[in-house]
Amino acid sequence: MSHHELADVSGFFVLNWGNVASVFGLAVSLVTLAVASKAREAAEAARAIARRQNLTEVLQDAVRKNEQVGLFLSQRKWDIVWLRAQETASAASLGLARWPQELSTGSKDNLLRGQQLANSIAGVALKAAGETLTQREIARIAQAQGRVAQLLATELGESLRKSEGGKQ
Amino acid sequence: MATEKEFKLVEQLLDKTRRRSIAWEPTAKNDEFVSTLGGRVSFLVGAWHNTESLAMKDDLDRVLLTVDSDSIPLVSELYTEARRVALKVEESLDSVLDQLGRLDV
Repeated sequence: MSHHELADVSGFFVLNWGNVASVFGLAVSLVTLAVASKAREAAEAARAIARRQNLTEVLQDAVRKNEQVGLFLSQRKWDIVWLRAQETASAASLGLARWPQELSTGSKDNLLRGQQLANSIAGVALKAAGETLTQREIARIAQAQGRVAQLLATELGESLRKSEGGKQ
Repeated sequence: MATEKEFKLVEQLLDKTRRRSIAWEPTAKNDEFVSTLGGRVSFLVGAWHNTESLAMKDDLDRVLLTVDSDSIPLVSELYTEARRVALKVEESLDSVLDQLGRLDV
């Protein structure tokens, strides 16, 4: 670049320093905005993964509690069957109340069914504490417990699948 | 005294149950069946003390309403249909009729 051209360029900057500073400021603002929005998206994705992870943990807990319903049912320990069945129903209610956005309509239906079936098990277990149940009644509880296991396993699998999908 | 909306609800549930649009299943209690709708409400239908009843609950297990066959006679029909669906009576009948049909051959 010749001395003359250099003088032209510096002359341009001297005359237009305000405009140049504005353009530079705009560019910096755009870059900052892009970085901030990427950071916000990343934070939202991390929050969504954490929420899904919490739902998965609640479902895992519900599955364990329902397994214990089956275990104590076989031992005819009705007070513990009542307690665990109530806890299973509560876990289903918690899932429905805390994660309405993470759950599809089908998943909510499954949790609602699980909640009602677990409640019905608790109701019969409470009755069993005061009177002897017939084999048919015990078979009905076992059937309901198996169905709750099926419903919760479906939802746990779905939640795990979505968690893994979200991490990729 | 049942309201017009409650009549309509029972009517619609009965219609959808007959069309097999709604799935019912047995609970741990004798003669009680459960169904859910839209992930928001559950229905329990059962026969207690010679009266058929329907209860609607929200997702927090709060009872929103209960109606029985004394106030809405259609509840009795709903119970019968729900029971048929939950216990897969049609499928059992088909299977038995099929088996009986084969006995003549």
